[in-house]
Order: sequence, then structure tokens, then C-alpha cells
Amino acid sequence: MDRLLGGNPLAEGLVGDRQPEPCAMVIFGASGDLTRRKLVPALYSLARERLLPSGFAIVGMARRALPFAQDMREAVGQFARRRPVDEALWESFGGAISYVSGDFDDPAAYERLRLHLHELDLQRGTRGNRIFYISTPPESFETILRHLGQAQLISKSERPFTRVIIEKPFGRDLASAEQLNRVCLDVLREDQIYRIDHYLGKETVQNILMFRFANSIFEPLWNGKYVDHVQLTVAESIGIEGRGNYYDQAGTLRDMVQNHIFQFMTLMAMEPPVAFEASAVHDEKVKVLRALRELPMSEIDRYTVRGQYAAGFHQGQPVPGYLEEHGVAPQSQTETYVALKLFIDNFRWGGVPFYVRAGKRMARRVSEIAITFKQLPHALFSGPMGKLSHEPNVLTLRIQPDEGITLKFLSKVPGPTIEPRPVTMDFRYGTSFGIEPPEAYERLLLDCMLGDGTLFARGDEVMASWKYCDRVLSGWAERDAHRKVALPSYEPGTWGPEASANMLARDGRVWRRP
Amino acid sequence: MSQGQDFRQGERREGWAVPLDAVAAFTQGASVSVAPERIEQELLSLWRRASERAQAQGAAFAVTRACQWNLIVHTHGETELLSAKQIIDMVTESVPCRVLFLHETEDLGDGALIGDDGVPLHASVEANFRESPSGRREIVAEEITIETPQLHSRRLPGLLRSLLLPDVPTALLVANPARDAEWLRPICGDADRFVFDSGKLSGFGELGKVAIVLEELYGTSLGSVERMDLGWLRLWPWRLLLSSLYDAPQSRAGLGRLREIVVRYTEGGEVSALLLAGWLMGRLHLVQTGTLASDGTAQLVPGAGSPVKGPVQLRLGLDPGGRGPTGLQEVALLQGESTLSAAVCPDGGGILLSSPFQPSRTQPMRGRPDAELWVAALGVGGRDPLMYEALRLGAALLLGDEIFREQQQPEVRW
Ligand SMILES: NC(=O)c1ccc[n+]([C@@H]2O[C@H](COP(=O)([O-])OP(=O)(O)OC[C@H]3O[C@@H](n4cnc5c(N)ncnc54)[C@H](OP(=O)(O)O)[C@@H]3O)[C@@H](O)[C@H]2O)c1
Repeated sequence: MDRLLGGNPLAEGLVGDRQPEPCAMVIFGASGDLTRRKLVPALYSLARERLLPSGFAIVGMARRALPFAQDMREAVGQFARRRPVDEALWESFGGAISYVSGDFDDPAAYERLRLHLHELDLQRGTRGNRIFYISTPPESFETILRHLGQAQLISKSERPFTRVIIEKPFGRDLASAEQLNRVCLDVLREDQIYRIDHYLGKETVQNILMFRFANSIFEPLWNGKYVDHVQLTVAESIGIEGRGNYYDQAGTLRDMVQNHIFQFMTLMAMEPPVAFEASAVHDEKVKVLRALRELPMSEIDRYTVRGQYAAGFHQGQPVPGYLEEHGVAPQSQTETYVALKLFIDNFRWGGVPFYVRAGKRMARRVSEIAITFKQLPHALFSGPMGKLSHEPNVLTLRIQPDEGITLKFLSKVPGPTIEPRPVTMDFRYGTSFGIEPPEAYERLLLDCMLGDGTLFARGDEVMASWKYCDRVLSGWAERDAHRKVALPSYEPGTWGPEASANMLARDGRVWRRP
Repeated sequence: MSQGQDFRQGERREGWAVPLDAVAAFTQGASVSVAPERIEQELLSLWRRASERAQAQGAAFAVTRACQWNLIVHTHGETELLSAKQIIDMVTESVPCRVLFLHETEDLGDGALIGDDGVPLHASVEANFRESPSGRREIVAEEITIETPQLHSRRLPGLLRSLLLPDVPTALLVANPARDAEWLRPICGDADRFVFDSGKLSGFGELGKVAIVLEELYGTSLGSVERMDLGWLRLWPWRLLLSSLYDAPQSRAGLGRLREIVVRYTEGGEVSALLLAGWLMGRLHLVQTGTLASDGTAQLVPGAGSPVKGPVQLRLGLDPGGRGPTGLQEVALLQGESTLSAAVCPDGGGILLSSPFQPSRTQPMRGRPDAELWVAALGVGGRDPLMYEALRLGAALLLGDEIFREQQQPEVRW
């Protein structure tokens, strides 16, 4: 705390309001989609909530010349969480926005940026503190980091602070992630690097920790003694939305599993950290990833399922199949659906399968973690047909939409007979808090300004998850090289290919219908 | 008691047509009179009938009620009630509550019932709906208004208690607790949080009265009942900006030579000035040597743990032409030859920060709307122990610190 406040006696108590120190935020890729739809609207919402520091500036940077502040006014009008825009607020917020145009390869652009930031320190009291948000195509990440280092816009010194936020994807396999990490660590300390995964900014994902570690009744059940298996689902109803060139190089494993799913799986499965602070939480998360059982290459088809969506109808509209999408290679083996069976070989989870699935063009958009508890050893109640089988208890943490937590349990149907029926106990954010949760990017941008990296991915976490995914990718590549057969296809609007259902059926289980 | 009596229709919620009956009125957000002893039953029955009617019409009228607080709001006079209800409309958007308005009025209309204690009471209920993004109707506030000319009524505390939802904390909002503390005594123990508004007080003396009333009501039991002042929350931007003057290490090093603190306030801003002075005293561990003199000065000396090395003069002064939105016009700290200050700009639109150790800059500052302050007071912002420290130190400047010394000083914990 003293480092943060620097021993300022008047700042005591104000930190409780989560007020960051003055700083300038530079956005590389300022003319891009993410800046417009998410980043600047999130900063505007922070201004509305009075969470921005007293000295603050936003500097956009991209190639083309832009009326940036004006464009951002429009973007905020269109995408901000609370609309219409508060004009009085915009006057001061808009006054903090400026733009420097230049190519990321051009050293002169960084010199212009340096001078501009220096001026802002004087005009807006940003005190030499900088956050660089790299929101560009991944090919530019390393170039920007190197130039920032060369232009001495970033340094490893503590004060004034410099921090860098890096958008996803952080690498496309283990080797490229390690290479990017090396470049980062050449110019920055680990705690200056904020690898963003916007899923971690979602209230519901953060609530996993609160739910587990602030309540006494769930944690005793949170282990292989009581849990039969866990299902993690990230389903999207949309297809690849014209991003064929990108998606065909990536696929669902890279796009969804390596980052989002593994992130919330670690939060769900980790041991209690010694404190709710970045390094303690990361230490526990990384232990989970390291405990992932190595995939048996010879049995890759028993542990993984790939699929591609076929042409068909989705929500009543005709939609093309993946192979017909623009930018997709006609013989593409890129998966739009993946299901995995994982084991976390540690004391808590030994023997408990974690079934993971993610896909596009699924029946509906939903992200959730469902924990199925073990059956009772003995069925006590019997009906006219003999002993009644008991459905297991299921605890579902719904991440989106309809954020909440549901516990399924059996209850007696009212009446003279003994008939159990599953019922649910529901907690919904909307009905318990009424409050509109902040956008993930609001939380994450604020945390970075506060120097809190808890909700970002640490380097070793990213590497550990790539290590697992790399093995899956090379297993698939080997399989394809050996005997290339088209990936199983699935109808749009379903929950994936049949092979996926079979993977669970072999274990005597079924996928939930989320 | 018959239902369906219209209450201040159209004054609050736009687009509301004269309803045909109580159920229609209720589901449109209008107020419905009910018998005081049957408030809860009537509410339940209104909900049930509203659902039945909608179902009969084939509508998917799923209503879910959300509630984070029982909020007891004291109002006095028609204008205060209307303004409080408007604020509640905004507050409950983000903090769903069951709101109990305790309204003091002579003008009860015909619906009032006289109880055993001879005090007339009138009760009405209304609902505040909101559509959830999924189209489901959610109720974010259930409002019960109890009107009476006399809050000292013996049956009132029991009635209030019976209307508090279980398992939900209770906040008591009383703009000026010094105005009439008698009726508060029997119910103050039912609250988990007590919220008042020093911004509604006028003159130095009123803050002293409030401090004494709070002390009487709650003593130093900081642990059990949280106290929050909306006026304190209004001062937050000032505190933030003043603290930013001390981010530079040189300005902190100069604190040892602090010799004078000047707080200039605008018309009606006396209480803000005192609170801010109390805050500075608390943070800098300065101790008063006497009370505030009639010229607005007081002598302070460094206490244990203070970064200040010598005596400090505190000077509070009125700036009659001042335009600061929170009652403050300027705060300056004179240390050695340097002056660090935050002052409202001549056009009133921002605060000019000056320090020899940092470039001067102007920071925009808007007044915070009351609804935003209420929300903050019901959130974590309502739990700031520094508020009570500032209040006591500010009040002690007027009354002498003996008055609070008998009781144990509250401990400020983080
Ligand atoms: N969009 C999303 O919803 C989303 C969601 C999650 C993650 N992301 C990640 O966020 C990053 C940005 O995504 P995006 O959708 O905003 O990308 P985008 O719309 O393609 O924008 C790319 C930006 O980079 C600039 N740029 C590219 N090359 C440049 C160069 N050599 N010199 C200067 N500027 C250059 C472009 O500016 P000019 O046009 O002026 O050249 C543009 O401002 C990507 O890493 C993506 O994976 C995006």
C-alpha cells in the first residue's frame, strides 16, 4: 500500500474507493473495432462512475489520419453501457482524448508519441505514468514492444510506472507464445505485462472465487469425493462472421479453450490462495494447469472430438457451412467445435473427469460450468415400479447470459405418493442486485490502472495452457498426416457432432442441455 | 379499508393514466391506500391479483422481486417527500430496495386511521417496475408510505419493524437527525446503517448538534451501526484533489513545515468547511488547543504520529462571492514558503490545483447528483470510518474536544 500511496497521508481512505494514480493510456490500433466498441466506451463508463484518476489522458495511435475524438464521441453514443451520453461529462472526457498517427514500424512515430506524452504530463498532470494498450493484429505485438523499448517509452523502473496490456491471442502455439513472452520480458518486468482475457473481467467469473471461498458450505464438497464430473461449456450461436482468414488459422481450441475455458476452469478447480492478490491467485491457477494429465497420443480420439458446422438453418435462417465460408480453405481441417476430456491429477480432483466443449453455431449462446455430484450409495425411496432412481445434484455456475447460480436437487411432488422431482434453487444477478454489472473491459482497464494483475493471465499460466493445447494440436496434425478424413460435421443449431455425445456415453454420462 | 384511492397521481411517473382499480393502479406504479395494520397482507394480495389477472389475459407476467436493503426514509413536508421519491426512482435502478417512507405531515386527507395512541396514520403502497433485458418484469422497489403528523407514536416502531424484510439489512435515511431526535431513539437500533446529510445543515452549530445526537444514539459502537454522511461523500472530489497535491515527494517532505491551513467556503458551506478541516486534522494528526474563535481561527498542534513539526493555524473564512458546488471555495496549505492549494476556478467549472512541485492544472468538477450519493452511501462508500473521525474532529472544534473525550475515541480501522 505504501508503494502505491508513496506515504501520502491524505490518500489514506481514498484508495478504498479504487481511485488509480494519474496516467496516460495509449491505445495502439485506435481505429480498430475493439477500441471503438469496447475500450473507449469502457473508459467513458469509468469516467461516469468517477473511477478515472484526476490526471488522465487517452492517446490513440494507428496509421490513418482520424478525427479520433469525434469518432469516439460517436462510438460512445452507440456502445456505452449507459446512454445517452452525458454532455457535461463528455466535455471533460472528450478533452482528454488525442491522437497520433503513424505506422507501427516507423521509429519517428514513437518519437512523436513521446513528445506528445510529455506535453500531456504538463497539461493534464499525467505524471509520466503510462499504460500502453496493444489492440492490433498479433503480427504487430512484437514490433510495438521493441519500438517502445527502443524509444524508452517503457522501462523496467518502478516510477513513473509503465504497463503494457496485450490483447489476445498471446501466441498461436507454445513456441510463438514463448517467443512473444521473451520479447515482453526483454523490455518489461512480468508485473508490468497485462495479458488480457476479457472473460476474467466478467462478474460471474470473478464470482467463482467469491462463491467458493467466501461460503463455508460448498468448499467441503468441492472435490473428487463428492463430485462425479464437471462440464464446462462455451457455446456461441454465431458462425465465424466473415473472419474466415483469421479463424481458419486459429480454430476453436486456440480461440476459446486455450484462454477462456482454461482460465475459468482453473478458477473453478484451484486450491484456496493464501491471499486474494495477484501472485497468490496465479500460483494456484498455474498448479492446476501443471496438474493436467498429459494427453495419451495413441488415444487422442477417446479424449478429444473435433467438428465443423455444416450448412443448414440457424434460428430459421439458411446459413452456409464452415467450408463454404469466405476465407476458409476448401479442405480445411480447422475445428469450429471441440470437446475434450481432461483430468487434473492432484489430490482434490484425482479421477474426476472434466468435460470441456466449445463451438460455433450451437443451439444458443451460453457459457457455464456445471458440477455434477455423485449419486447416493443407496436409493431409499420406492414408487409403484420399485426403487426410484435418483437424479444427481447439479450445481451450475452460469457465466452468460442470465448470469447466476443454480442448484438442482430432488423434492417430493406434493400428493399422496412418493415421487421425487428435480427442482432448482436459483440465484440470478438481475433479481438479487438489480445492478447492471460493469462491462468486462471496465473492470480490467481499471485494474491495470491500479496495478492489479489478478484478473490477467501470468506468463507461466499462458505457457502451461499452450503446452497442453500444443499436444492436442500436434496429436491432431499427426492423425491428419497419417490418415486425413474430413472432420465430423454438425447441424447448425445443435450441440455439436455425435462423436462428442459418444465420448461421454462411453463413460456412462451425457452432456447437459444448457 | 378500501383500496384504490389515488395518491399524487401523475406527479411522479409520466405516462400514467387514471387507473380503473387498485390492481391496475398498482401495476402501473401508482400509489394505493391501504390499512396501516394490513400493509403486508395488502401488498401480497395486490401481487397475487396482479399475476392472476395477467395470466387470465394470457400474458407471461413473470414478476420477480429483488431487494438488497430495507430503506427507511424520513421526510418532512410535501416537497421533501416528492424529491425523495424521485431520488428513490433512480436509486432503486441499481440498488433494489423495499422503501418505507416515514412522512411527517399535517395534511393527511380522509384515509387516516386514528390508533390507540390517538395518533392518526395513513398508509399507502406502490411498486416501481423495471423491465429486465430479457423482457421479464422485475420489481426493483416496493414502496410503503406512512404519513403521520406525529412520529412519536407508540405504535410506529412496531409497525416499522413488522414491515422490514428479513435477511436484508436496514438503512435509515434522515436528512437532519438533530431536527427531531426523539422519535429516532426507539428505532435507531433496528438500522444497520444510518445515513444523514450534513449538506442540508446550515451554520456551524448544526454540525455540532448532529454529532451529539449521533453520539447519543449510537455511542461509539462503530462496529454495529455504520454511519454515513451524504455531505461527506460530496467532499470526496476535494479530498481526492487535495491528496493529489501530496503525491509529489517534495510536497510530503514539506509537511513538516506546515504552518497554516486555510479553508474558504461559500454561503451555506460552513459545515463542509468544518468537515474538511476535521478530515485534514485527522489525517495529519493535528490536535486542537482550543475551540474555533469567532474570527474562524483555531490553533492546532501536532499529535502523536504527525508528519507536522510545529503549531498550525487553522483559518475558516467565508467567501461571499464563491461559486463552489460543494460549499467549498478554496483550501490552501501553507508550508514554509510554499503554498499548495485547490481553488474553484473563476467560472465555477473546475478546480485549479497549484503547487510549486507540480505544474498547475485545472480539474473539471461537477456536483454529484443526490441519487448517486445515496447509491454510494448504500454501497461500500457508506462504510468509511474517516467520515466519523472528520465529523467528530470538526464538531469538537466548535464544542471543545472534552465533549467527545469522555467516550472512547472510535478506532479507525482499515
Ligand atoms: N474486435 C473484437 O471484438 C476483439 C475481441 C477480443 C480480442 N480482440 C483482439 O484485439 C486486437 C484488435 O482487434 P480489432 O478487431 O480492433 O482489430 P482491427 O479492427 O483490425 O484494428 C486493427 C488496428 O490496428 C491498426 N494497425 C494495423 N497495422 C498497423 C500498422 N502497421 N501501423 C499502424 N496501425 C496499424 C489499424 O489501423 P489502420 O487501419 O489505421 O491501419 C487498426 O486501428 C486483436 O489482437 C484481436 O485479436 C478483438
